[in-house]
Parts: sequence; C-alpha cells; structure tokens
Amino acid sequence: MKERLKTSMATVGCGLLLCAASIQAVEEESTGMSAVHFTVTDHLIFSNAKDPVFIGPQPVSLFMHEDRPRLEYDNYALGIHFTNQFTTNGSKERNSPFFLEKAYGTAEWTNWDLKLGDSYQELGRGIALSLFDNPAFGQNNTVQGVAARFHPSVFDGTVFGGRVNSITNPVAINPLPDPLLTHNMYLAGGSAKVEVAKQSHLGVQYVASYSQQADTLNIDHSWNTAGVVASKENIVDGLDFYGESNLMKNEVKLPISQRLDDGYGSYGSVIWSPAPWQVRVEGIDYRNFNYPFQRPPTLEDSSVAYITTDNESAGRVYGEYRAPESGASVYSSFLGGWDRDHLAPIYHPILGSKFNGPGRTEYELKAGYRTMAEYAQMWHAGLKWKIHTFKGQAFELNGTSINWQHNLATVQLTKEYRNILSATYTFSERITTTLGYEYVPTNTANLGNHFFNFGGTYKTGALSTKAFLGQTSGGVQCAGGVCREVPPYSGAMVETNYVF
Amino acid sequence: MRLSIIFLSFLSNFVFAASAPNFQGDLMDGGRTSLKEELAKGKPLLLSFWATWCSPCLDELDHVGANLKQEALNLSFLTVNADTSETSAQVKPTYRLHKFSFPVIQDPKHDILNKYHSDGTLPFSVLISPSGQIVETFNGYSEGMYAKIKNYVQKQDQKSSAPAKTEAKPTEKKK
Repeated sequence: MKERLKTSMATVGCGLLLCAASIQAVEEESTGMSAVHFTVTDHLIFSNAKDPVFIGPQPVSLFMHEDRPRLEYDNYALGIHFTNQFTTNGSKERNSPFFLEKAYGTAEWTNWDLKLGDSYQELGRGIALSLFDNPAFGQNNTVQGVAARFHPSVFDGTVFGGRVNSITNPVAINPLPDPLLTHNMYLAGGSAKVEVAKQSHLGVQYVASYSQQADTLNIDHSWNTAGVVASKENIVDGLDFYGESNLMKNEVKLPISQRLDDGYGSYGSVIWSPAPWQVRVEGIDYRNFNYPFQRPPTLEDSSVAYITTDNESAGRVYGEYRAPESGASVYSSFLGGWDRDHLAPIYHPILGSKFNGPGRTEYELKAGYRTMAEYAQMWHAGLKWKIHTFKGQAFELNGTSINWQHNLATVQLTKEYRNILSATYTFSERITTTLGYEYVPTNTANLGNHFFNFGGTYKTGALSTKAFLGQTSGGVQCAGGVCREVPPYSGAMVETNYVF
Repeated sequence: MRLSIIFLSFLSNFVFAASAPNFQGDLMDGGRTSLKEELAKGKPLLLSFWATWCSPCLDELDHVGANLKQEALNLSFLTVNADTSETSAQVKPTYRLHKFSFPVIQDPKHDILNKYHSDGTLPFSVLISPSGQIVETFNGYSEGMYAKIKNYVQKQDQKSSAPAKTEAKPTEKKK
C-alpha cells in the first residue's frame, strides 16, 4: 500500500508541477548566474563509545554519515537526504549502507510555492503542530506528501497533507528515539492569514491527525485542532502584540473508542522595545494539550529543562537594558505559573548581565532559582569569562553549576548537583581547543564523580571538523528550543561538516 | 560492498563546485526577497545566519553592522534569522535593542539554513560572489572575518574598475 501511495503521489505531483509551470509565466532578468546549481551539505560522525541505543559492555565503533544533495534549475529544485551507517563491532542492526531519508521537489514563484515529497510544517508558534529538524538531538520530522503556499501581498495561506516521516538513522550522539517505530501518522491541515490593517494580521489554522498501528493498520488515535491567531506590530512605537489560541479534540479509537478531555493551548505576548530598553510580557495556558508533534513556547530559560508543557499555565516578565555605547547589558526575568498535573505553583526568577571588563575581557553572568512547591527546587548559575590575548586569539572560561532536588517521579527526594567547567583557547579563526571538567558529587561510585574531556575544532572555508576525547556526565542539554536529559558519554568522536 | 557504497557516497561530494543554493523568504519588515533579487544588484552578498539566543551571533552582527555603516563597502548584506517558534517573540525586540539596520529574513523552519548549513550551529555566514558562487564561509564569529570580506570586496571593485585592454593596431610601414 505504501508503494502504491508513493507512486500515486509522485504521479500527481509531477502533473501538478507541469500544470503549475505552464500556468505561471516566469519573467526574470538575467543576473549572469548559471541557471543550474548543484549543492551538497555533508555531515559525518565517527564515534567510539558505548552504544546508547543497543546497550552493551564494550565501546562500539560507529560511522554515521548523511548527505543532502540538491539540484536547482531556475525556480525549481530537487533534493534528497540519505544516510549511511556502519559499525565494525556493534549490533548488526546498526548497519545501514544506504537509506533514503527524505526526497522532495519544490517550485517557488513570487506569490506561491509548491512542495512535493518531504517538507517541514508548523502552525503558529508550534503549539498545534511543529515538524522540524533539530540535528543536535537527531530529530528530523517532515510531512511526506504535498504542501502549497499562496502569499500575495495581504494574504498568506498554506495547505499540506501526507504522512509524517521521521528520520531513521539520525547522525547524532544520543539521538531521541524514533517517535514512529510502531505507528504511522497521517495529517492534513493548513492556515490562512490576512493583513486586516497596516501591520495587523488575523489568521486561522487547522490540522487533523490520525495515528495508525504499523502492524494491524488500524487507526488507534485521532486529533483535530483548530486555532486563531492575531498580531499587531507597532501599536505605538516599539510595541508589538501576538496572540494564539487552539482547541484540540482528542479521541482514542483502540482498544475502545473514547473521547478524551478537550485540549486548550494558548500563547500571548506583549513586547515593548524602544532601545536601549526591552520589556516582554508573555503568557501560556496549556490544558490537556498532549500532541506528539509540537514545539510550543515554554517560557522557561534555556539553561534548565521544562517539566511539562501539556498541562501548565504561566506568565513571564522579562526586562533588559543595553547600554548603547559599551554594549553592556543587564537583564532580569520572573516566571510564575501553575502546574496542573502536580497542583503546584512554579516560580523562577533570573538575573543576568553581560559587560566588558578592563584589559580586553568580557564577562557573562547568570543566576536563577526555580521552585515548584515541595516537588522541585533548582539553583543554577553560569559564568563566562573571555580575554583576548594576541591578535585573533582568545582564552575563554565557562562555568555552570546546577543544584537540583526533586521528587517528581518518586516519593524519595532525588538530588543532582552538576558542576561543569571548560577552558577554550582560540588559536586562530580556524583552530580552537577545549579542556573540560565536570564534577557531579551526587553520582554513585559506579557512575563516577569526575569527568575529563578534551576537544578541538578546525575550520577552513566550507569545512568544519570537531574532535572529542573523554567523558561527559550527561544531564540536561538544550538546543534549538528543545531540552532533554542525555546519558553520559565516554569515548572518542570526530565530526565533520562540509558544504559543496 | 557496504564500505564501497559509503566511500563512493562520500567521495562523490568532492566532484562538484560550490554554487549558492537559491532561496526566497519573507522579510521581517514586510515583503519578500530571494537570492536572485539580491545578486541582481551586481554586488557580492554577505549572508549571515543568526538567532537571538546565540550570543556570538549578536557580537558578529554588532561588529559587521557597525563596520559596514562606517565604510560603505560595495556589498549587499542580508541576514537570516533562525529563531524557531520557541524564541521568535524575541527577534524584533533584540533587533531594536541592538539598533540593527540590515534586512532580516525569518526562517523559523530552517528551510534556508538547512540548504547552507546542515548541522545548524551558529553563527554561520556565507560570502557569495555576484555570479552566485560561494567565495567563503565563516563558521563561528572571529575578529578577522570583516577584514577578509573587505579584502574580497575591494579586489572585486578593482577588477570591475580596471580599464579594458585594447588590441594593438599594426603600425603602418613608413614609405
């Protein structure tokens, strides 16, 4: 069925592209550029460490590689994304000589775009739907189907439909587990936004999703989400507003049909930023908004992991002053919220500053305290000190300390104190080296308390190479708006990126 | 066999030249632009990717932006903001706070970023020739970056302003 669906989609898609090309008259002045372009972005990791997926006692040599070749002609493009994976002494399931992860064709004109195959889609601020690429955690989810966007001057509309395609062989250390191992996910939706007045927009959005068991092909869960969006920029000088509200109908179909409580997901912000000041007031209200493909605003600071986003309400006030001449800044934020799962209030004040010191030094400081009644308390502090030594060279010291106590999952209190210190020397714009040390006194003896590591990067033109040797204690890692707990790493790794 | 496939896949990457991938995007202050439109101005293009949570990105933009204001190089400067929906509310306030004045394309789904830089680390900048070829990429912020850009732009200016050579006419034989 999958093969027939793929063939049908490809046929329909080619037909649509041909029709679109014949309808749309392309008039462009020649820029002297060649009309045909071919580019490739290449990414490779070689790692020798214990496999976090197929856990075993010995380190495993793993070669992970991905390429994204792309061919462009005028307004049209074809591209694929493939991976290769190979291990000499690991689980045979790791061996994958060639896997076609994504494939797409696009056509882009002045007022509209057409995409066939894999595309990333998001509605609003990612509450109702977000399919995105996060290479740090090996997340790469797309809609494999059709997407079209029409955007003349005052209107912006998108429709899309297809199957969710998650990456099979992510090129990442400690990737997130594949969310679609046992299921297929199909969705269709769209959004429409209109400029109702100058810098004022109103919009609607909708997505219907169905989860299908991979073995029986039965639909076992469905979600239907509809939402509205409103925004206004420059209400007065430097004052912007954004608001979004979504309603989700959530139904389990198997083993018995059952309507779950409706989900509500809302976000709003009022931002005033007349330089040198910036004041942001943001609020979220999530009630039973549990959906597998979203990346909603959490209002949490990037240095700490959020606890939950599907049943929480919170507001945050953020203020910053940046001195125009020196560029020095001081900022403060306060988050107050309510966690409905634990029936507990959340408070999180943060204070930070960035400034230049004497002798070509730079400082960045941040400290905060997050409390959730008797469930969780966290102190966190960070310091960055940088000194420019010789021409093009610099020494940088980074320190982070997190003191976290919680009993969110267990009755017994869990304590986690994590202290990370790293020293980086930049020899030139091409070469940097880093020495790292982590001290985790709350680890048990078998996990270890002291972690040492050494790394370096070499960059030249389009090539970037990183090498790492040693151990990390794991813990919370945040990248691109996603935070997660990563396991410890002990081994050697080389990573390269190249653009052709 | 497996090794051959992997090796050939990797080796094939070295065959082709680096031309800048085409893109289109919505500008933060309204309107749209594309690589073709930018290059139609006949100048080299500096394309810089940044995000509000990336401190070195802001340092780079402060440094490059300030220098470009003072020196008025014959260069187009376009930035691509890679903030996702998580932090997109901070883009405009950060832009105003730093008093930036360059155009910004918003790329929350990383459609443009993924064409140029698949590992997503920031800051990342690309210097593109007027004919659409990638001249140099800058991975991370460094103080020498602006000097390299300026050097290239000035060489381009010299090439375009050099007088055209004419063929020597055969001298007439004296009677």
